[in-house]
Amino acid sequence: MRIIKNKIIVLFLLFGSTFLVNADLISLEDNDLSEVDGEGIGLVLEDFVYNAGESVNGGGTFEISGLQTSNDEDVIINISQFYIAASGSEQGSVLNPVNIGRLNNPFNIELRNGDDYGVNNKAVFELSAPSLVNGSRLSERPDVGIRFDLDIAGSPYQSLDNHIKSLSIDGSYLRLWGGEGRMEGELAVNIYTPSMAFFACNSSHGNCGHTVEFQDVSIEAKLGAGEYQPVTFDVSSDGNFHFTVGTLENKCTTNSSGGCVSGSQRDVLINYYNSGPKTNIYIGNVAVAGQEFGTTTLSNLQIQYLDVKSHDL
Amino acid sequence: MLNIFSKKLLLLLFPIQVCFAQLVPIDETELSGMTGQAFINLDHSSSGGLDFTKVSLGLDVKTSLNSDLLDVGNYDNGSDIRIKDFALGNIEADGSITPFEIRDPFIELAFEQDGSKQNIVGVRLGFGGAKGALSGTIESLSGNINVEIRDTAAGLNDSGSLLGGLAAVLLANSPIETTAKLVDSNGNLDQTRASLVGIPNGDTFDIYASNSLERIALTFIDVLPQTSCAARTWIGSCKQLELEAQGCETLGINVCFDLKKYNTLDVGSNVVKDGNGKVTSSDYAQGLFLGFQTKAITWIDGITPTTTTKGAFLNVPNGGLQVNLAEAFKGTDRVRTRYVDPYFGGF
Repeated sequence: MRIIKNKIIVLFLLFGSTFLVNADLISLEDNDLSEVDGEGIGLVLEDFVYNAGESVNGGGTFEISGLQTSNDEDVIINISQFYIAASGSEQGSVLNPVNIGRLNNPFNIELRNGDDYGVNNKAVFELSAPSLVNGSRLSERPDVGIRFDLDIAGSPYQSLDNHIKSLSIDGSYLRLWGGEGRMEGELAVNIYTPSMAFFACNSSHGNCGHTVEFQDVSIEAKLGAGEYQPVTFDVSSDGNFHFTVGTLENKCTTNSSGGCVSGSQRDVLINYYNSGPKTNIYIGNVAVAGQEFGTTTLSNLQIQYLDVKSHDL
Repeated sequence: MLNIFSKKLLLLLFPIQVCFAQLVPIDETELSGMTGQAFINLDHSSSGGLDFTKVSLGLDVKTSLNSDLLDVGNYDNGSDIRIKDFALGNIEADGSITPFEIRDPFIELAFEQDGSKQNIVGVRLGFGGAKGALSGTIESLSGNINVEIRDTAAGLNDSGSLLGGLAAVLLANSPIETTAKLVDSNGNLDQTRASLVGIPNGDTFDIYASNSLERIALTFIDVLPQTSCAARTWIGSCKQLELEAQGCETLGINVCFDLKKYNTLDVGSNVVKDGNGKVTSSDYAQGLFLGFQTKAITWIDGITPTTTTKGAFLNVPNGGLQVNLAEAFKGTDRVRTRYVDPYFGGF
């Protein structure tokens, strides 16, 4: 245990696959605890390797069942490979340990002062990835991959692979607080990778086809702006969910064309449009079998209202 | 004495402030009432030598959003799709938001058998239904964006053509209809990186006479080039006249229009507007999707095939967009999409 910047750094030492975990959790002494006036808990996974799947000795598959086709045939999705390992894993075939987070820039679980985040007089629970430092990503970047095997109507159908090189999610966070009779929050999801590859194989993971590779992917998505525009998530009694990003309707007095009249409310909205939550997506290139399909850009996407409800198909 | 960390740890251990609820198992009867697990479907199919795997989500989505730029497939000094100031949904004059609505989005993969291998040759994000305002300055578009033009011939007065103006006077109440598609500057169908929408070469403006005087007028106009009478009365007067487009014109009327003029498109079927052009009702349009293909492939929606081109492809289904003649000739104004909107003088 070390105390850095008033945070407790918990080291989880995980070796090998999930089926060979030799992690030691070291107990805190009273003396250690007495020195802690912590702002939260920092998490660093040091020398971390995760490898699960049917190719691991004694391993198996993670099965998602209960799905159906539109013709009511049963569908089973088997996750037959999932790995997190050091960069250079060659799509999960070379598994070296990697540090997830750093001692001076760990994953954090903290209680924040809501006044700093547009949530008046409330504590805000925050789960965050290592922060961006001057816009740069300092954490080590693991390779991550997952393979889905599809069974339809009891027959193996297809295997789909997804491999992400040198993944970074630095700067991502989830903040939650208690709203009026509901949980509210805001979130940021950052994904950076030089390569995100997809390909299909036959049901026994042989004869794999061409790879579709998204190169130099950068996704920076922010949703919600404190109590001004909270994000909510509910599940109804019938099992369906309801996700919202708060509306900007009624945030200002409007003129005859629906725009804000001059005043402080308009100033707040101008600030929202200029520096509020935005999503930017950039893909440097899409490459398939020697063909290149160029860049894709979505810039400064702002959601001023979103309501998503699930229902049975 | 508890220090701050310990207090927080206790808070984490007891996250619900005063909660004494007991967890009770759900019995089979209650479980049978749960329906949320069926919001995902996974389908496979084969067509045209391709295999398809489709994941559908049972979702109802309502949104209002703005983006500075949507630029897809930017290579070889151009973009397959490039829309500036892209927006979905709109803000009404009373300040309320009318969202863009989406039903049942899906992701579909297309595979081509190559010997014993299955190569991914396409992926698309599609919607079971969509309706609402789609705004933006369309600089380049690959896809289908068929625009239904429905009006009376009086609307030809906005054509800027002498014959068009004359036809507007003579045929004022005659219903007129046609379909504009993505074309090049010569009027040829052009689904790749198009910047014009118009009536393709060989397609027609159809004018339907609503009374005997208009039938006489159609009969006289029928003698002009690029016209043909498609239906006559028993005495031989023309009651349906077709004006054929060639090289982006018919009867001296320009029938190809810059996509940038269409600042807002009302996506939906059976779109009904009031006298101010405001949509008062519409139904979901099926078949809206954004696809990406490594070769020309045909996607299937129900029984409707849509053949796409290599690269990015935006398909707006036939009947999905409807404008009158004035909007066709002059373009459509952009609706308000922000409460502080640069397109409304910053207010």
